[in-house]
Amino acid sequence: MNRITTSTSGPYVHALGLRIAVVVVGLAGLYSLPASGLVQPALTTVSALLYVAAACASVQYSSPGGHKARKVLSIAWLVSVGLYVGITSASGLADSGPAGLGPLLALLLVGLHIAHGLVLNSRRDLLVGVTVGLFMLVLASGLSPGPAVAGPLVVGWPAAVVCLVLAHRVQELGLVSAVADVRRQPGVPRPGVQGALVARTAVTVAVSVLVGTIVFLLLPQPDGLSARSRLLGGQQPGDQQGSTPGRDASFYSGGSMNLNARGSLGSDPVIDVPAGTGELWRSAVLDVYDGTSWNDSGLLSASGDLVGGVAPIDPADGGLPTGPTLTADVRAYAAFQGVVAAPGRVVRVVADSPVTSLGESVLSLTRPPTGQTAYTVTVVLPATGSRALTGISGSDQIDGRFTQLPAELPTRVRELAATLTAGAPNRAAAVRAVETYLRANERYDLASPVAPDGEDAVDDFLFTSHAGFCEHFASAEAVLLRAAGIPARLATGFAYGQPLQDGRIVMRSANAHAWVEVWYPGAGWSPSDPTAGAALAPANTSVLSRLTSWLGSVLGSAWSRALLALGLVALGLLGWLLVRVRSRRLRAAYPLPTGPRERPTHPLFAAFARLEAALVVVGRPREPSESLAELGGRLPDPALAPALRTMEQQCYALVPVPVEDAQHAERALDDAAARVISGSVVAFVTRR
Amino acid sequence: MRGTSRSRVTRLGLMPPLSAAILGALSVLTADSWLLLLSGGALGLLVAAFVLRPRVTELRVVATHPRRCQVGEVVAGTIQVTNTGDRRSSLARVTHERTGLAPVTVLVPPLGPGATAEVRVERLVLARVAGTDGTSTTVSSEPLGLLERAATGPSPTDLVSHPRLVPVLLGPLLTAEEGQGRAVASRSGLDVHGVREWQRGDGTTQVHWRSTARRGRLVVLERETRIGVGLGLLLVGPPGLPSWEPLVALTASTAVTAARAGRRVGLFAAQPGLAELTTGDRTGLLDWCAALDEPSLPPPALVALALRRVGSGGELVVAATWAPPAWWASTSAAARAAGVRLQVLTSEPAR
Repeated sequence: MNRITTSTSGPYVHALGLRIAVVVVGLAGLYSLPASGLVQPALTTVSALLYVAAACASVQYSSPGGHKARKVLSIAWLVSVGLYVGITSASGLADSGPAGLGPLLALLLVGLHIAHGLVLNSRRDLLVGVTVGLFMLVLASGLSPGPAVAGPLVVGWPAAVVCLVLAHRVQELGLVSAVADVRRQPGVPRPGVQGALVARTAVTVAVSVLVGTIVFLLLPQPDGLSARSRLLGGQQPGDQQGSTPGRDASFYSGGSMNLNARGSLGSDPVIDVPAGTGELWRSAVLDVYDGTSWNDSGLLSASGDLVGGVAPIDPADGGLPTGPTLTADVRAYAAFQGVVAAPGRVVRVVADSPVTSLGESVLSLTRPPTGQTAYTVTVVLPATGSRALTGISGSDQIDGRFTQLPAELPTRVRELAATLTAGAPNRAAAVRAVETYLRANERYDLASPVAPDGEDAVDDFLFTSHAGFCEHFASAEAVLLRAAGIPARLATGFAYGQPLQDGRIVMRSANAHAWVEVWYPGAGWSPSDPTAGAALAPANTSVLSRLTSWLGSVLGSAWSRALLALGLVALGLLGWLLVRVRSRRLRAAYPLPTGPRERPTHPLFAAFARLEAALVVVGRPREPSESLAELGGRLPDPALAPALRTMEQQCYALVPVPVEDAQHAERALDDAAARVISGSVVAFVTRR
Repeated sequence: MRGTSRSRVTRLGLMPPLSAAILGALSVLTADSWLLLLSGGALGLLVAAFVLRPRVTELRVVATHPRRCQVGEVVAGTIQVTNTGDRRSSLARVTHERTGLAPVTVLVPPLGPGATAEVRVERLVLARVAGTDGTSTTVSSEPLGLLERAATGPSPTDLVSHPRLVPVLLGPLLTAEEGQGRAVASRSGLDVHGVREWQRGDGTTQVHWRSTARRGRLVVLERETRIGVGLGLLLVGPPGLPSWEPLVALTASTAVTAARAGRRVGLFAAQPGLAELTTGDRTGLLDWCAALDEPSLPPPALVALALRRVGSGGELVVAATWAPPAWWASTSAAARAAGVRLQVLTSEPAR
């Protein structure tokens, strides 16, 4: 076990860097938990602060006494958290079932993480800290339905790789008795030791992340759910996993509507209608609100087939079909679910296929096998326009279900309704006041948070999240109006389609919409759409959102995933190529020194230079091509040959000459030089 | 580095594929792509370890230390590591092992092509040895510790480690004056006695180059030595016992003490390649002792040579912990005949 101390320094000791990387992984793990809904964000922030403080304490109080105190504190903390989790699980698990295990496990992990932060002393402790952080990331990744966990993952993953690299270096340092210093290479602009180590760490992180991403892209995605639905928070049709149900275009065809449903609607065309026949094409109305969803109370009172395709009179209209009528022919596409959409109250439907009434307000066609059909619908247009509605007055003789509200509706919703409508001189003004309030204070967001279990969806929208889409805007208006005593109901259908070249308007699945119909005595139901004109949530325009959206579209197809993987491979190869080219250029610019570097400075060569000088003095200099052996043979000095061999060994042998031998050879060379000068060596052997 | 190299996956290296398998299975079971991404990340670690696998075979290790030292001494030396390749090397552990010296392990940072790293190390002299020997092992598991590569190659150094000297009393041995008085040189010591092949311990000045050139191998000139050295040490042993090294240390200490007192000392042992030595030079005496390996029981010829070198009136000290009785009998008889007093030096109490 290598004890990490802060007193060590230098390029090889990455204790501080390792600690920082471990803390980053731990924080990433902590912040991944609220992303998956396991821990409240406030608790996470407190936990993160405690964890950082604990990690700092493990550095600050590293004395034996401090270590003991930290250990005791750590154990006490862990026991406290364990007891709390144990008691909570014993008392509450029976009610919540296995679904309650996730938050308890997360709480236990958070407690363990903080406790362990107090005893980050050794390399092993630091690696355990990394493991706990990664485990939290894995837990959050496994339970997170949306992209919120991406942030902690993007930060935690590279930090974990950095931890592994630095921990390995600390381990290596603990196995050696000394560390070598690199000799300076003057004039060579290569990175030093520190730069090399940092570069190596960066390359390791880049390669591992790149390869991991490529592997992820190339592996087949898990069955059952598409990567898009999981990674980007979009729910596909039929995705009912967890507490968040999905939705699609058929969701707006009557029956019921769950305000906690999320998911994309697609872009398949459903119907096209003549231009100028109205923007809101109603398919169904929902009248009962239970705090989470809207339902059609008349759904079970089906009246059977219509004779001649004539719709029954809506009993809520009081049997008074008034106002101008409009007839429009509608073409339906494959995505058409069979529910008749019309721009007002239907009085007649003519179709090739039989028409069936599903409840009071839903008319259904039997779809042909081809999925394509057409029908002609005649409607009474609803009363609209502030001038027409402002003058309407009278008592409400209407079914009480249109002012129904759940008993559990929070009081603050009723108070808000009273506040908004208090100064309104008439019903139309009250409706406008509620519309204005919603458009000013709430944001349009398709990925709005889901209300917690047991919470009223409208209350959560109005006072907590302040974000939602058409369902939430319409529901909020309907509930506020009902709370103020104004009869209102939720209408669903299609709205605001896209124009076609032939002068018609196409309604796609994405045009599915919900709005409000308000009862005006004598005028009937009039539409009110609070969603139109609402401000978009700023997150929808962020770079991250756009990047997430783009990634979602890429991950949705196997081909695009393969293409992205190929691009990443090309990117990696390009980086490798750039490094190779730079390395080659450096080598070309600064070639490696060759031969023995000690040659100019070694005393042995200096002695040989003196001998060469002596030979020059006596007029028999060493010839340019004369080797050492030839020179030894030319000079009849028995001590010279061993000295020259020693010099040869110094030049070329793998092992340097021992100091004693070098000194002996040096003396022999100097003696030979002296004899040459003094003339004692006069019998030069003539070279052959 | 010339030599052998090997690669292996470390125990830590088993973790990424195991983690990838577990996370992949969880991903399939829970249909969660985040877990699949983490599984890919774990596999990425393994691939990164392979792509960035360490390079250690191009590192050349040279160790230096004093050529002469003494057992038990701590000597200072250096470990030089040079990258002879054309790419940057990896962070590596270099271990230099050499008979007689404690192994040393140093950490070598990444080295650019042609760069050299050097570190000063202190090593304990563990055993008595003379010769050239040494290997270096370079191990690296950069960058993640998942894949380890090791290269082993020769890194020889020249070492003569003398036995540890112990305090000795000459005791019954003659004093310098007495010895000089008894040991009379009968010859000048300049006359040529003959030539023989070079043996360990011979100096380069003894080489007879003309004969060497003629025969094609090193031949030394053996001169007539002074007879009547007066003090000879005959190593008997037996080697291999725990008492052997203390006996060598005691013999070396005795020889050095006598030489310090001005005596010329003759050293004799029946070891092939190790010639008898007669000198008063401390270094020479210790070098000879360092070269002692596992001599056999001295044959009568060697005993006779030792007695002749000691000369009449001299003393022959037999360093032995045990010898056959017959050998003792014959040696005693020969010593008596040569007029040499025989003494025994042992590292164990006499039985």
